[in-house]
Amino acid sequence: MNNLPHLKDVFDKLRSGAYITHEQGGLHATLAENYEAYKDYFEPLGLNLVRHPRDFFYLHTEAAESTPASAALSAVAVFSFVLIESTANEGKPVEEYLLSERFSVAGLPHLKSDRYKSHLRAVEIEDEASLRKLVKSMVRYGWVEYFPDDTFRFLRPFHRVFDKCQAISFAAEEETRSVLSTEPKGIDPEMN
Amino acid sequence: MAVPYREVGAGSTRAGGIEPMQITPKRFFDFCATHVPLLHAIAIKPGDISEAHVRQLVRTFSDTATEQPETTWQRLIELQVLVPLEEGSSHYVMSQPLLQLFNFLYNDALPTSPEIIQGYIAALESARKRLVIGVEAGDALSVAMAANEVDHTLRRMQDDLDATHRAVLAEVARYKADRTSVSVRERYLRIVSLMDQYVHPLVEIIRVDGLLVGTLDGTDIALRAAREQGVYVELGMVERNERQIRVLRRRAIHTLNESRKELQPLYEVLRRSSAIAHGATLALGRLRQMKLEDWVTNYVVQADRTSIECPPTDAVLNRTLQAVISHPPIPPPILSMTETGDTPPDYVRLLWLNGLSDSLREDLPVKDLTGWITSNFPEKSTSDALLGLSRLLFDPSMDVHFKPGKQKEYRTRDGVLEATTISITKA
Repeated sequence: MNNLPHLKDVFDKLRSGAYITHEQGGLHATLAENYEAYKDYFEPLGLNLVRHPRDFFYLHTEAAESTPASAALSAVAVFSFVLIESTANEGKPVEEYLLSERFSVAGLPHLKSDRYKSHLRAVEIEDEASLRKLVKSMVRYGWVEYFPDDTFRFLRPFHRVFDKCQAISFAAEEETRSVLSTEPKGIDPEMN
Repeated sequence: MAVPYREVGAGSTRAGGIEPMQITPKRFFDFCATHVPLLHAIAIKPGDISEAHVRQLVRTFSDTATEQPETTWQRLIELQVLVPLEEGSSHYVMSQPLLQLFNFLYNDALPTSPEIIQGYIAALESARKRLVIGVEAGDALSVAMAANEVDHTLRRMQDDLDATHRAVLAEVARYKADRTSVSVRERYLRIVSLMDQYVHPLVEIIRVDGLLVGTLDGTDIALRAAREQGVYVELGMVERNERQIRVLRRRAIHTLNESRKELQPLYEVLRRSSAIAHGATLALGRLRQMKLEDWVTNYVVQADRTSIECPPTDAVLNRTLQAVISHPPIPPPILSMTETGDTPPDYVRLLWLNGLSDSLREDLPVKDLTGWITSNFPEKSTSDALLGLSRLLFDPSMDVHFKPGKQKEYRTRDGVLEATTISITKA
């Protein structure tokens, strides 16, 4: 089973916590062609190779699941949620717009509304400089590519944030449904 | 579509003390032709419109060099382009026939609610009952009136279904042409309401085993009885009804499926977009209400790049060893190395059904479709022959005609089919 192509390169990339996306060309094509074989190979090592529906790959470990997300990610999350909400409010198709446009920090909506500013203050983002630093930190997560002209674009793995938002929405709707559909309880004689 | 054409009685003075006068089609259409922008502006106003507002629109849209605003206002009332909401009211609505004409001309339409279609079905059912009673009693007048009502109802139903399709197309076009003016949530709600409140329920009513088809079948039988028993001598109307029923059966399903096809992709995309936006807003809202650690646990993606230092871990090794120790060996599965060559019968049937239209097309026009199937495919069972027949009857590229007359018998592999002659040609 160790005759899988580019096994060492694939493993080195994934074990460092990186995503393998179309940008990785050959590695991505190899993984896409032999996904099941790679998945079977990694499984006995306790590593779950995930193929996201948007066609990128990453390793998921049980250890990571049980470890709470770092505080640094809270600022990233607030930043992402603000951008998503603002895009939707402008009537733009959220995924298509965020994954196809290039953005400049100065043009972001985050510091242009008191509500957004107060959300950002909760995670200690106060001004444009700290906002820029935050965006640059997202490069480390493989979500953003930052360009020398001070612009950036979101990469395909940013879909995980969209997935999270969708999951939050569905969970809330489920919660509402369960509250509304509570069946009337029978009369408890003990209560009399 | 009816256009106002009637004499206004001497006592029916209109707003502004205008003398009643006869409305002739030429006068009416001449006025409309020279005031299209004004009439369109009035037509697109939702609800009623005040006199002051109409006068303002007249000043905006009319050419005061050729006609004084007051004259335009008077013509609007005289020609009953505008009618008061109630006697003596200063609020007006555009007359319904003209509004319908504008909707038709501007390809604008409102979707038809399932309740309205159900109302038509109830009307058809009522007419069917009167047809049956009329035929039994030999009452030609009752049959004539019921047949006329069937005609009217079928036309209105088809018009309304077409209007629903046009409304869907317009909404889709609006979405594609203007993607920035309204929020994702609002656009989602518009698309979803079209899909959930109109298209899906209508498909339920109109599908093959739905309410409409049952009523159409019943009406068809009643009309045939009226014709065959000679109660009703004006066969043109009965035949027209029968023709309309056939057309409605096919077109209604086709029209609604087309509407569903138009909406489905947008529905999927907008549903996800809306959920994403909703989730983001919800998470931001909870930020203030929760402790940051709790918020992070609930709302943040686990995206830390935790590198894997030394796989496999002790836990994994333990689990693997335990799995080996605690499980007896499982013998390998025995594979059958002989090929039977049998193809699943359902697959064979599917291939036959898929190729049936092409086979028939070579022989078109066919005067007796059932005969064609049973003679070309004598090895097929009765149920297969019926499946094939249904496939061809609903093929949109072909026109089917049910010939009146006695039922004929067609032998299949395992039985006999009884049917009147069905001819088929290219659409």
